[in-house]
Amino acid sequence: MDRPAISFAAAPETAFADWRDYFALLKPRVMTLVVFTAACAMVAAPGSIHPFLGFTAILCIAVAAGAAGALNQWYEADIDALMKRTANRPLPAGKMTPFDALSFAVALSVGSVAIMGLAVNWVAAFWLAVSILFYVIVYTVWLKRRTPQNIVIGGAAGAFPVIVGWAAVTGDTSLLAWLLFAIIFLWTPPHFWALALFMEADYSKAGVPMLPVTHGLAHTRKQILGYSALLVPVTIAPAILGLTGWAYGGTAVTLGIIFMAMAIKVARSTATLAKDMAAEKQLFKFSLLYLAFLFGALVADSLLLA
Amino acid sequence: MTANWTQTERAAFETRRKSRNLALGLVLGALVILFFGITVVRMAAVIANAKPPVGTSVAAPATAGSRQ
Repeated sequence: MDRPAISFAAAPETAFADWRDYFALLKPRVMTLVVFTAACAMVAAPGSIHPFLGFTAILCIAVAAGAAGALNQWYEADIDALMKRTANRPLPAGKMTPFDALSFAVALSVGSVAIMGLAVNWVAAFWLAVSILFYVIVYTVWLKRRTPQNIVIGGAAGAFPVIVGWAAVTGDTSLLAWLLFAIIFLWTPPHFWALALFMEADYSKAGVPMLPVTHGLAHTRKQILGYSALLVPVTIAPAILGLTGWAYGGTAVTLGIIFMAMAIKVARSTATLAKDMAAEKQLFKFSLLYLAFLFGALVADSLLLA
Repeated sequence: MTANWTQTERAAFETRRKSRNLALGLVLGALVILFFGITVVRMAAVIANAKPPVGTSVAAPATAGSRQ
């Protein structure tokens, strides 16, 4: 009996996933920031690590961050399909099955933690496992769809890599490591809420309770200002406490003034349409540079002190 | 099901499968190098910190006094 010829659309979904789709599942852009902050923490940490083991630690942190991103995409495929920004991701686009994505993510998670433990140390491996579980369970599954404070808690997930990087070198965590954690934790809300302000329509469509959707634009702008006011003193604290030199301290003060000025500009803005939100877009872009320069200064400072 | 693919569909599928297999091969090769490197570094550290086995320690250079 002749079977009717099938089209591409009826073929198995996995037949069309190639390596680029698996790579896209790892959210490579998010991975860049994670690798950068973790590497800076490793350089700033007292002590030393063999360069090859340092490379292994960075690789494990990058892969674990990618695995957490893949687990996030596996869980959120339904809402990703509703947002213009995420609709082309491999799962909502139907390029691979959810089971393939889940298997890939779990294998990378377990593998990265195991290699970190066996090659570097188990303290770093412990914090690496915590960072994956926190991002997936606490942020993605528990809070993201339930509370407008999701970004605040999600910030902690993005902050763990500095703890992992520090622990990879020292075998423990110290006050400076936790201050670096606090910097990323407090930086995340102004950074993402600035984005959420001009992407509000997208989040609203997907039903994600982002602050601009649930509490309005004016409230979000006040929260951005509030978190910025908390962030700047924390960035200066390492220099005041004598944990870093004044090369870092001077950079933190200068960048902090600019960041606050931009946050005030956002707080004063009354724009309601994305195309009019120049201040919000400016703060979002600057926040990326802000973190990069701050951690760059930390590295430069520790090299100068050494 | 795949037996009913047209020639174009099969060619597209095979190109993607080939690229996926090549990427997997490269990842496995990279893992071999990584594990080898980790082993060498960890073993070198252990050897550097190890005490010489009993009876094989290098004797200190003999001094004039010790010869008596």
